[in-house]
Amino acid sequence: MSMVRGQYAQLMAPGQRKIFLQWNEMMQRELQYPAVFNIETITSMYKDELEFAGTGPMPLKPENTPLYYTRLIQGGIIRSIPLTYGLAARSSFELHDDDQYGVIQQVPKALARSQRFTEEMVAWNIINLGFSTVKSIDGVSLFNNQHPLLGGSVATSYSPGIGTIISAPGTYPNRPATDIDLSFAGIQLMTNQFQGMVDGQGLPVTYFPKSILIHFTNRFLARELLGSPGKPGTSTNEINSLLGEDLGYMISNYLTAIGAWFALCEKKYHHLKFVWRQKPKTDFDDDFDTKALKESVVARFTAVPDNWLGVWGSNGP
Amino acid sequence: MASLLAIHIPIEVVETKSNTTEFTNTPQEDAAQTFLEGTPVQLTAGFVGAWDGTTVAAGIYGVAEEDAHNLATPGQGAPGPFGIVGFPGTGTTFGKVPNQPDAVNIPEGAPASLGYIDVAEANLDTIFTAQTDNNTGAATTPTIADIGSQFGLTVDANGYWYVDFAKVTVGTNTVVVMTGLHPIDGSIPNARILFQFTKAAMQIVI
Repeated sequence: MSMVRGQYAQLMAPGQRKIFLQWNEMMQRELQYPAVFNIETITSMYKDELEFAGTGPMPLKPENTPLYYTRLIQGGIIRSIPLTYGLAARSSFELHDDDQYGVIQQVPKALARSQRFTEEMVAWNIINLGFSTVKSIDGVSLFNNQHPLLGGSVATSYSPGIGTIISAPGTYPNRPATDIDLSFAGIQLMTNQFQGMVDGQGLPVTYFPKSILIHFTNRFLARELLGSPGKPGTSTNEINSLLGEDLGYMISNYLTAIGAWFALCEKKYHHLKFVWRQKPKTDFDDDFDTKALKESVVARFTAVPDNWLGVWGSNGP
Repeated sequence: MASLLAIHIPIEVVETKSNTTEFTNTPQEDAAQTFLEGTPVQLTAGFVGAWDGTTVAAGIYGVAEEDAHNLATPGQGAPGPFGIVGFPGTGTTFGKVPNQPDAVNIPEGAPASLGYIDVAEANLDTIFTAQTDNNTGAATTPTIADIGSQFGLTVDANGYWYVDFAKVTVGTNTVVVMTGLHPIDGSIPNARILFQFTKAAMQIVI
């Protein structure tokens, strides 16, 4: 495909008082995914990450009996493979020469915006598709009510007080058994699932959600839930007990489901990653035969949830 | 000299008539494919598998430029729009992960799989090279007189394909046309030759 003069007749003669270039003058959104994702750079075709579970609880050693021996448990591997994205435009020599306004010279900026959108969507689709096709290191969907623990079914048998949190022995949830809307009850359920968190051997660990991540249309509801001094939606005098959870909220313009909402620990405690292999690289060249100008942008990247720990999601009802 | 080698050099692209890079594509790979680099492939319901060796009319999509990945499902892992390569990103795993039946162990260096297979498309532009042989065991030495003749393709005992000089019945078992002797091999036993796929054999004619 080439851009030629016949497609841009208005650029061929002076006289336009102003030409509004959307890609130059419409304000571009700040990148949103870096606020959520940990960003890495690799120099190979792919990266593999491995998980280990530690040892379980220490048992009683009766007098003059030998010690109980145990071992670490090696988990699975998750592989992430950066993909190449690219876009190019070609303009005829004559179009480039006769453009009276320099519009065609601005094509690289438009390509840069296109690249930036794809960069965002690839990252956010980890979350958008986390209820279905995007899987964590344990081989099940990123947001799942029953993440299998490496310690097996006994791992949750001795963890104190999580019987009402889990749905099946040996598993731990980062999603409700039945998806629930962003609501007072929903946030309570979410914080309880974080509070009860155990490691692969069932030993309690600390994961505090820091932010709720929502579709931008839910920002008003989020303000009410997390900002009201009294219990939201009631006329009683109860305090808003969610305030004690010290939660903030983040909006994303790239979440596809309005009803879905998520909770995140601080970045250093979760494993959502955006992986660069090649930062955006622009290039241009003339075609020898036609003298047409070709301009392109290419980048290589991917996103991956190396682990489900530290993130939580509900796909609305 | 007896012929029918046990193993042959994989079919590969050597040049194009347009003097540019050959046209390659990355269609999704069918499930359970274990073919090798250089294998003629065909599209079936949109997924690429090894050519069945018998469909000579519109039967060959191109030649695989890499080994198949033995995917569990057709196109396993192929990314959708703005997607990522799906779990597990390889067709090579070993053993089991304790208590996590859906997790995988990936051996170090296991080939990555994107759900796709790189294929040099069979078209009117691309010229391939392959070794010659004869499935009857007869000696095979291509000569300049063979240029323009049509031949079939046969797979050897090790999974590699060769230009079979025993398959010469046009329209019945031929899929390639010889375009030249190999510039190094020339006329030696089991020499490589240059060839194109016949228009009739191309699954997608460009």
